[in-house]
Amino acid sequence: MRGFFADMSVNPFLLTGLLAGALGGLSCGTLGPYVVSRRLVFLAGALAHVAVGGVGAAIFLATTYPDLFSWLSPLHGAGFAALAVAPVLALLQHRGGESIDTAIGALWAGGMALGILLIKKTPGYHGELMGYLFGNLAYVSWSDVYLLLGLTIAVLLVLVIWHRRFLALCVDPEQARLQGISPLATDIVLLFVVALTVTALTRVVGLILVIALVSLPASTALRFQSRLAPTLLLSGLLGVLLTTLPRIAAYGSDFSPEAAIVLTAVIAWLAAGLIARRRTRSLPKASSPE
Amino acid sequence: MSAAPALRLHEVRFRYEGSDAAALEDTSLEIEPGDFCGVLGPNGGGKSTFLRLALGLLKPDAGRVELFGKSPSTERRRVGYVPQQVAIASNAPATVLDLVLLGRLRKASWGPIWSGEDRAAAERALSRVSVLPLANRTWHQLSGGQRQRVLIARALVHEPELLLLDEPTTGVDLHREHELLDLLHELNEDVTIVMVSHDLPLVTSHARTALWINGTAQRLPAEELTVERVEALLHGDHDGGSP
Repeated sequence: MRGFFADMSVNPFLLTGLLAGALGGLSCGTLGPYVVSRRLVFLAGALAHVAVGGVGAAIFLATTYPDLFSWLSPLHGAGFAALAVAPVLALLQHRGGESIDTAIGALWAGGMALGILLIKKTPGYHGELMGYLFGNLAYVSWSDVYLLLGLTIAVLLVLVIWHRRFLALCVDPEQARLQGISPLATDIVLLFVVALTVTALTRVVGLILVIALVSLPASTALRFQSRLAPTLLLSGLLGVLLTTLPRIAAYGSDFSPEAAIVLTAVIAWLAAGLIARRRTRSLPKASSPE
Repeated sequence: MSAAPALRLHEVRFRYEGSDAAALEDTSLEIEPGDFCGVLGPNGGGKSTFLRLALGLLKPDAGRVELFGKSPSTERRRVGYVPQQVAIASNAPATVLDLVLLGRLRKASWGPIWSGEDRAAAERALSRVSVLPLANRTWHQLSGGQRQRVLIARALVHEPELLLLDEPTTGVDLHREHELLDLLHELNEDVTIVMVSHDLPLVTSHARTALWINGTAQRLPAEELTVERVEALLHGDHDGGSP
């Protein structure tokens, strides 16, 4: 761990990687409680995998038509694809029906297959796809950090403005509808935020592992907190810690920092579950103080 | 000012998409202001459809639904709806106070902060149904009777003129059930109440009027509001027989 901070002065990527992790962790940690409570984790996973298609499309277009698309980075591709598919997923969810799981699964796998296909079609070597699938904290540029900063600010802003509406949907969507709040429109906004967060996490843990960071810090926090405001703070903090500490600890070892982040998140969640179970066992359950 | 019925259905017909038979047909009824109307009927007879039509959550295929003489979509803010307890997500990260405050949420509510007025209204509603001490509990820490009171508080928080309740005694134990009904009686002093219930004795002993909903609606006159008469209806004895 000492090595990490000592090397920071010679390797600027250590700082950018750490900042990218912290920003991504902050967005997913703060967003997660809404996604988990609204039971949209599966949709978030689908969104992330569709974004792989966007990465493939961006790499393909930028390489094949450099005059037109040289500005298009893979991260842009991920973001556009995720934003475009967010309303589709919300619509699917609201129309329901028996085939909804299949439809979401088809988008999930289809988006990813499209990404792989487009990469294969792109002339030249493109090992960088791996960096978007599994994250790449070792080479985060400052422009990536600025993009992440923008995304994080956008995510937090929307969460603040829509907070009560999202909570209403988590509690009782039909009642929200009766009060003039459209559950579909609100879910679309929530999934737009998920799309932004997925994009932000592409560099940190990769699109395949994003689902872990959207759900686990939030679920861990929810084990200890039942009010939304403290849950959000705790989950945001956990998000930042989980995306930075394992990265520092894994430095210099042959542990993949991205995998270390996800595994630590899983372990934290499991441990929280055990602790919470012990606590509830020692506490009396519902009482009636009427 | 002429007092329009609190709720009026006129020759309403409604069929669910993909279903052969209409859930409700040729249904006309009026609920007068101040009424405490018990809605009875067999499962699948259309009681919930009736409530959802009244709230404007469903649109009739034919006929008209009116709240206070106007369209449900504009007037439903004058209605408090008390759904069945399963409507509340069990994992919702909200306290009792949050839940009741959400009853004050409006189209124009942006940002995370509730106004002092909203908070005062929520506390008033909670104390009106005697659960203010539970304000910081979460949903899963409550008993069935407490949950029902919280849902009623949420419905009361924007001071409705009409209260629609869907099976309010489900999951409430017997002696709490009577407390709950006493509470509804008290509220009935200034709120019109429509209560869907499968609990015959409860409706017959507490409601002023009763509706029988089974594909269509029919009024049960007060003198016929007996357990025997309702049981006869339940068992398909449409001719009535002697009560």
